[in-house]
Amino acid sequence: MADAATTTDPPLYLITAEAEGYCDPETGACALPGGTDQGEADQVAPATPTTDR
Amino acid sequence: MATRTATEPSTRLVVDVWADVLCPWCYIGEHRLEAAIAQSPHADRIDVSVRTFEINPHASSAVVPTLEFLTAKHGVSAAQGRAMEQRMAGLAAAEGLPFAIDRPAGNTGDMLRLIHLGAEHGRAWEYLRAMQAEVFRGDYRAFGHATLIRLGEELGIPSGEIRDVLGSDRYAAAVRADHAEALELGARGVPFTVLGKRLGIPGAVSTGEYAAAIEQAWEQVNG
Repeated sequence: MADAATTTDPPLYLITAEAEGYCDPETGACALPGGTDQGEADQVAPATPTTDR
Repeated sequence: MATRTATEPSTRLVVDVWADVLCPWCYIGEHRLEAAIAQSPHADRIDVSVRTFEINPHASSAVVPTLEFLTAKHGVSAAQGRAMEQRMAGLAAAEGLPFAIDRPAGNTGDMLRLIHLGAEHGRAWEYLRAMQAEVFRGDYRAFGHATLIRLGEELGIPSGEIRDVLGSDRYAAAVRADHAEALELGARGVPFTVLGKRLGIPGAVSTGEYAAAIEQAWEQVNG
């Protein structure tokens, strides 16, 4: 359920198994829960646009 | 739930929440976390601290429709993009949250800097939630200075201080520092929640899972 992750003292434990979704800074996208009646794979939804100022 | 104040570590629990304003999972996850805290017998001894995490610091300052970004960024059709958003809207609706599919997207740098100002007045969480309420109900004025000033004033944050932040780069370093700290702690996205500096929750989880984590962290910190 938990993974040791950081340099905090005592170490921080990351609870990962139950995460339902998050927004990814690398892609600017937000993972949606995978699977529908049509059997879709994981999808993404927008976080922010990526064009330069 | 209390906003962050001077605390006695032996009798309180600090919950740090890294988030960005536009992130739909942050919007939903924060709502679930609020519900979990409200259910906790320790609710009045839990301090929530907003930590900013700018998902896309190079985003355009132009405010554009979220669906426009989705189709451009991910190469999906407008119909596919709308279907994706409808799924997310369904999740929000299950929480009783407004969620406009045709909502604005833009650069959140100013908003996140203002959240740091809000923290100085003990209103960071409320400011974040107020900004998200404007965005997710689809108000394209959400990024405007007038809106940001109004929301802050409604929370008791002096408009002069808000204008000072908007007219400068104040708190930009704080936004970068929060981001760096999250990455150091292992965050790869947001929301990212750390309870009592012991337990980290990457991403949004259910209200029940937040509640269980709160009790687990409380025992570790105060047990």
